[in-house]
Amino acid sequence: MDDEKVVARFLETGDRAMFGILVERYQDRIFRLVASVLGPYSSADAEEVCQEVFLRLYRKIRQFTGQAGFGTWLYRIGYNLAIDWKRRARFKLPHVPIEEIPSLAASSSNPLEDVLTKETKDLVAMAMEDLPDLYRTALYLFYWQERPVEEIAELLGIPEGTVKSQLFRARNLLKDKLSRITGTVGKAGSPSSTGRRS
Amino acid sequence: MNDFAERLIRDTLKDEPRPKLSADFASTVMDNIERAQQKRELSKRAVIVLAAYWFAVLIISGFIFASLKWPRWFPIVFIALTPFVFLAAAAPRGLRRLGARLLRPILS
Repeated sequence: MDDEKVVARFLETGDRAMFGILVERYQDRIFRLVASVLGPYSSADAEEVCQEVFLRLYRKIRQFTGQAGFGTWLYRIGYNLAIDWKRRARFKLPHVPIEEIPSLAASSSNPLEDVLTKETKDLVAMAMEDLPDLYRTALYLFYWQERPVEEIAELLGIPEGTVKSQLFRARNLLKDKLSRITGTVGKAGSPSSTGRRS
Repeated sequence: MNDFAERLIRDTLKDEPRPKLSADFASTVMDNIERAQQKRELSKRAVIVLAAYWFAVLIISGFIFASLKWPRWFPIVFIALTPFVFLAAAAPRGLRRLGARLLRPILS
């Protein structure tokens, strides 16, 4: 049964099982989208936002007119809620789940290399956080969540060609930002050298 | 240049933990929806109860004002203020707690 029929059946009968089908069908994609808007180390927040997305869906499902696809409409709700959450949470400390903490610790036997790598990663992460919301989300979906371009296009409600051009522009913007921070990125040859000034 | 940026991004994100949705997510959503629905029904009932109280207050105060010779503006102002009792239901929980705390010494 396609989404529109499930929605129609839910609106007719009020059967929560129908709503459950929609939750099961979209939970993973919504979660990936929300997590990509919020960025790494935010899985607890992402889950909370997802809960809010489905609660909002339950309250507003009567407003679904069917002009756009149901998925597109739901992803838009998810994206907007996640963006709002991110803006509000800017001044809050991120909640890092305990199981994610060991991955923050240095693992290599060379502490100097660890420090340089961490410094570079911090710089790149900082520059990524500074990118426009849509660019950053597309980057996270593509490089962090490793989603195909067609899925990113569906989640963000834009054509595949636009996703590709946004990824290209995002990389250029990131490179410019890093060049401004370090003054060396364009000339340097390895990622580990971005933290150093020449 | 773009390849370099791509390599930087990949290097930065490759070790970042991938978030995972908890296994009971869907059932939690359904529980939350049911709770929200119950809350909404309770608040509807609360408004009906408040309306009944309001009506009773109007009737009783009408009798009191009729029997006492208070200035004419007083009952009008009193009756005009009584609908604000509905705001109590809409007020945030913190404000309601504060109100209850302030009223406790007066009422006890």
